[in-house]
Amino acid sequence: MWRLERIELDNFRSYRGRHVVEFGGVNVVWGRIGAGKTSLLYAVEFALFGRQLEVKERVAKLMDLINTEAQEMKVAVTLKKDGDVLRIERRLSRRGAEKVMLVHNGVELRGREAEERLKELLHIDEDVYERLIYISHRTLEGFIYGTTQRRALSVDRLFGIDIIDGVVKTLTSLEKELLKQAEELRRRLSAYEKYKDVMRRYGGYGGVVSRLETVKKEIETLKERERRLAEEAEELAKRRTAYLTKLKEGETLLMEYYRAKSELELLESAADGEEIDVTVLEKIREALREALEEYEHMLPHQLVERLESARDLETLSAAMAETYDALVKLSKDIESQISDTKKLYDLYVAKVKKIEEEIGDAEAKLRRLEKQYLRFKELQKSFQSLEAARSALAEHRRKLAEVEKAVSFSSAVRTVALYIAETGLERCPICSAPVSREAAAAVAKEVEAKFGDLIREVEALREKVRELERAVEEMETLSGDVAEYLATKTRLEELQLEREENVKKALQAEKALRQLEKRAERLRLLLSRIDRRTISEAVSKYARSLKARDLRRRLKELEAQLKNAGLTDEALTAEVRWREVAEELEKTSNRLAELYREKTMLEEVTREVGGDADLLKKRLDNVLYAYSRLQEVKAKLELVKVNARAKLLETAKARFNETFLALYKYGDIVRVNADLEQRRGYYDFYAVTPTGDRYGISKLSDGQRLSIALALALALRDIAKTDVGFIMFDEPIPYVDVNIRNAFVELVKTLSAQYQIVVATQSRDFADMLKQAVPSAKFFTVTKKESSEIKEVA
Amino acid sequence: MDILIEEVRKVFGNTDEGRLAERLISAYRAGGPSAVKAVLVEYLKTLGVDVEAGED
Repeated sequence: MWRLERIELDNFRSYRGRHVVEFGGVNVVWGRIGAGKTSLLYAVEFALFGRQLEVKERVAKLMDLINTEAQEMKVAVTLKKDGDVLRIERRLSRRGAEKVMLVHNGVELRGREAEERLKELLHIDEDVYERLIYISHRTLEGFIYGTTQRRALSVDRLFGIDIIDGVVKTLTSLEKELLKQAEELRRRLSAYEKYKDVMRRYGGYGGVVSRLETVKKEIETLKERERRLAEEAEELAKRRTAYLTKLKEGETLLMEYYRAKSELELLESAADGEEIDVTVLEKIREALREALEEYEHMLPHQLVERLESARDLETLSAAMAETYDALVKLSKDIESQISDTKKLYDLYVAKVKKIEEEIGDAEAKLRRLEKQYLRFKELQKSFQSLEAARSALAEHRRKLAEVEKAVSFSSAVRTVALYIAETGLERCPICSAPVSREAAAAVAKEVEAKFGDLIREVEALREKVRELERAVEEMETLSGDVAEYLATKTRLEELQLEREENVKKALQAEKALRQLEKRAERLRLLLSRIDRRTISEAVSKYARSLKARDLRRRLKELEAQLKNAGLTDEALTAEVRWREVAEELEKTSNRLAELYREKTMLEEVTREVGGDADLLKKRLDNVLYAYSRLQEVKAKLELVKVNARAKLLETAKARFNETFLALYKYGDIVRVNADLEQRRGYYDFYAVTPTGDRYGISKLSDGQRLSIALALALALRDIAKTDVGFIMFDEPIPYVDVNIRNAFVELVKTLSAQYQIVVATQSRDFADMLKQAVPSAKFFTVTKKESSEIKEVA
Repeated sequence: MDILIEEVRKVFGNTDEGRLAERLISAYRAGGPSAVKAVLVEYLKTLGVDVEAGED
């Protein structure tokens, strides 16, 4: 394992200049508080890791490692392991430059390469070093004297579980911060509730902020205005002193002058700078009169008379208002008529449309039936009518029956005779009597001669009857279609008449509608120019104009009187301005006071609330949620801690007992062990005597506890498989009784067989005890005046 | 295997909080409480909460 051979310091912490320390197997470093013992030990950690515990824990900054008088420092540590030599050199300057150089058996490495090789060679990280190589009283005292809780913390530190406590502590501080934030947000929300009316008035928090900005700007503007007015008022007051006596003498006139002037100004400002046109009223009256004339047949007659006869403003105003109301009513009536007429027009148009559809249907039907109708007509030409055809048929049938009756036998004989003659039969097919062809032909000829005409008549009648039968049948079939054709034709004619009538009515309605719309439009145009307000404004403007005319006349009179009283135009102008400025100044001051009050209130609201309610609620929700997450993490980390304790204890148990027995050789304890308390998860250390009795840690002596603590540290160190072969005890057991010191000295003696030991202490007695126990130990004294100095004492 | 990290994984499981706990432990080892605080401040930011990352 690597052992410390040599430390070289250049301007490191309290060591100004260069200092070199050569180490032995056991090294005792003695010096008073603040002399520089710990700095020496820190130098080793800095050399190995480029940092040290105080810097890591932010107790000190890296720059604090440079001596206050220097700009740069250097630490070099030489380590040896069997034949290997390792030299680590680190430099740090106030400009922040850090350099590392490693020489291993003559091979030089720098920077990242050097750091990586160093880790490979030593098998240790900073955390393990701080827990198991550099052992201070923080670790041992807590174990020996502490409560169960404090002992647990010491063991946690050895195990590296104290990290959880560190993390939990930070979590707790952030939890507190979150609770503070939540409280603050609740306060703001309650303030929001308190200022709810203000928020509503300004349209929410955004509105309040925006209004505050506006108020601030307005205040600045008004302050400037107030300053200017104050200057002007001062100037005018000076000028006023020259004619103050005359002002007092003409006070009554002056007061009337001011009143008239002020009244006139008011009238003029009401006119908003525009010249009052007195003809406006007359124009309105004329327009109303024209409208009355146009619609006289629809309006009461007396309206025109009233409008004509009005001689004063009041009567005229009433007559104009009445006329206006009548015209508005008329406009509504016309609108209503338009609506009715439009409905009527739509009705006729719809009717025409419907009739046209029916006409279309009828025409289609006629076209469909036309062929049948024409055929019927054709038949009619031949047979006049169906009835006539039927009677003719009956007549012909009767005739045919009569003729057929007369000629039937002859016709049959003739037929049989012709058959025999043609076929050459030898016997009659009816009576089977013998017959010859010639006789048969003679009979046929005879019958033909006697009844030939009658037979032909029968045939002609038969033909006629067939013809009549076909005609009657066809006419009967067609008669339905013909009747429908004729009815449809009549209906078509009716529809055409009806259509004509409705088209006429629709046109009339359309015409009426156009006329009404024209009237309504004209009326609307008039009413868009004139309404009650324009009438009332025109009347009041007219009245103001009359009043202003009177006031101007009076002012001229008063000015002349004041001039006679010795008050010139200039004096009057200055006096008027002075009064104006004074009045304006008062107004500005009042407004400023109002704005200051508003500003104070708004500032209070923004300070107290600081955000919109929704935003504040959302932030509060976030904070509370985050708080709950942190609590959960914290609770689980506590569980992790207990589990890790159990696991590490299990891992360390065997080695721990073994190490303890190697250190503690008195025989009254044959075994040590540790379990975890079920209730709180603390460590429960105990020792077992040769008789098998079990003693808890509280029943053990201080020396036995010290042995247990060191055994645990060494066991863990072995488990960590580090290749560092030295242990540094920095003031390991201050303020302890002599028994513990003795025990510690004995332990060092035992440990020195396996490890290189460095013990730094401020107690000379303790240092001497160590030296006596291990005579080969090197003894160093550390002193400090301007700079720390270290010397080996022989 | 780092026993603390191993136990964190067992207790927290594969969760965001578990990853946070691992980061917190690593941060503490590397930079002490201030490094832990920096990690937590960043985590709280993801939850919509701003906490000042000043020194303790």
